[in-house]
Amino acid sequence: MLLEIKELSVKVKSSGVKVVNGINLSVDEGEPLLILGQSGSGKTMICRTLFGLTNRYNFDVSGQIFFEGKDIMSADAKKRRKLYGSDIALIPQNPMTSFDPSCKLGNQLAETYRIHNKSSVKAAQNAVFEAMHRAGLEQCKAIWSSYPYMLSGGMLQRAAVAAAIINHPKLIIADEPTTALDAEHRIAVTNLLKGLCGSAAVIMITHDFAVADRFGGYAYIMKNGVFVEQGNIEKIIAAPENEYTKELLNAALLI
Amino acid sequence: MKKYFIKRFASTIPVLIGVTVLCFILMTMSGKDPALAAAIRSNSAGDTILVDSLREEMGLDKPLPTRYFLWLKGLLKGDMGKSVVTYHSITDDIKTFFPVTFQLVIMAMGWMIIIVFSIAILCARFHGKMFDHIVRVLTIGGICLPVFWLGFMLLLLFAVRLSIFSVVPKAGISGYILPSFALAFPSACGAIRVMRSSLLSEISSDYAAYARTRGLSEWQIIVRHGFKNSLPPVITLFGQYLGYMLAGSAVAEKVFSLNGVGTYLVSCVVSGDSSAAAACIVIIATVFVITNLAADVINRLICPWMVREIND
Repeated sequence: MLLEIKELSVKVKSSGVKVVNGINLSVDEGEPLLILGQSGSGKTMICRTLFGLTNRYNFDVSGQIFFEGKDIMSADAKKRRKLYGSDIALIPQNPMTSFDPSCKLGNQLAETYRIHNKSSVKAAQNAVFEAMHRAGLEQCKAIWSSYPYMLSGGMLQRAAVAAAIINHPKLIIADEPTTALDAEHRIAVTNLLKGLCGSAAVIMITHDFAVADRFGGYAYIMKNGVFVEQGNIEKIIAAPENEYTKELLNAALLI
Repeated sequence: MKKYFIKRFASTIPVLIGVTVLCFILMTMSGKDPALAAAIRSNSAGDTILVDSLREEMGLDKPLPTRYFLWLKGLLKGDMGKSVVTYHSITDDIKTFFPVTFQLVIMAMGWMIIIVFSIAILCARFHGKMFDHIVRVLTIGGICLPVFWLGFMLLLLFAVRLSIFSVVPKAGISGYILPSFALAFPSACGAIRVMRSSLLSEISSDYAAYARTRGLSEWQIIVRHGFKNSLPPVITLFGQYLGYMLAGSAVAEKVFSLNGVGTYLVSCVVSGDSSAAAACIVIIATVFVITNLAADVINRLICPWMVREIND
């Protein structure tokens, strides 16, 4: 088992609301996995908790997250940082705001490589170019010296994919990676992520059933912090059992 | 970007013209007759013929617009007339006094950069911890400190008690350490608060969260990414503070017995030497405008995307 989440709960301290309520989830190596649900259902909070981004002043987190059998929630910050960006990588929801606007994109991707690998600038540049190629980015040299504001949303999303795969991670978490994209780029990015499965396990967090259907794999349907249905996405789309899943599917068809 | 720089540079010209007009108006409305002031200083106040001839010599008998253009022409040529305080050419006086103030203000800026950047970074890194709370309290107090009081306290401690520095200013950099610190400290306290807020806002942004997921440590996020992005408001503030410190240098100069342009300006105002006072004000205002322009240019160079956002 690559990743195992046990009884994970996240409570907002001020209101007492549980945005994630005792969920259990597991992913095997190289497998695709889907977490589906409306906005505010708690999908992103799972991802934020996994990366230690839930502020302890605002949230109470309980439960366990095991990565390759080791509990990463009880690990110290230094050990967790070694995992993040190397073994566990994130593809963020909004690529337009996810990169430092004052730093050239090439430097930010190279930074991700050099933090985890002791390498020369030249070796880091080669690794960035290779990751860019794998992420479907052309004109690597031009992108290397571009600031994020100079690139389109689609290109930045691919750059985020490049940043995620640069260190050959075992697990990639894609948090609504297609939300900010148009239909054409949405299909391209989904296909790209699907292509990464096998070499890495990919958890796709989305609210889009079309994207989920194209991506495939085992799916968890999430509502108000709990999984209300789970199974193969094709089966869920063909014969949803839960009322909420039916509503979501109907809404997706209406759109 | 080039278009922005040209536009921004061009916008300073009307400001500078406005400054000269305002200075000239204030100079003429000051109520003090420079010819009479000169006569008083030469103990000939009762000599009306002398006062009239001085008035004619100074061009004070001409209509106001003519006087303005003559004054402006002189200013551009570097001929600002004679000071009734020192009896020297005002240009020579400024050449003598300005370097003292310039060194004082530049060193004060150096203090500000060291104090503000280091403390604000530490505050951001240890946000909510004891260090941050202590700095917040101290900076509120520091903003309220008058330069003259701080100057006297520094003299008392470092010159009288500890005898590290001399009460009478020494030649060289050591003579400027205490006065520049006294001048910089209250402004630095204000700037620390601005930079701390700016840095905290940057390290709570999306790109900082994403950097954490890529394995960057808090120090790396602050130093490599947050610091640069937090600079624009601080650089703008530094540009303004440099002007304020130049204009308000008189207090520090008086306390530390430095003969700078601030002291010269005050003595000109007291003696009714409006020509010299106006010349000093124009120079200070020009430096103020240039530093603000420089701050804007530096901001655009550091944060190139700002040009696109503002669409200028």
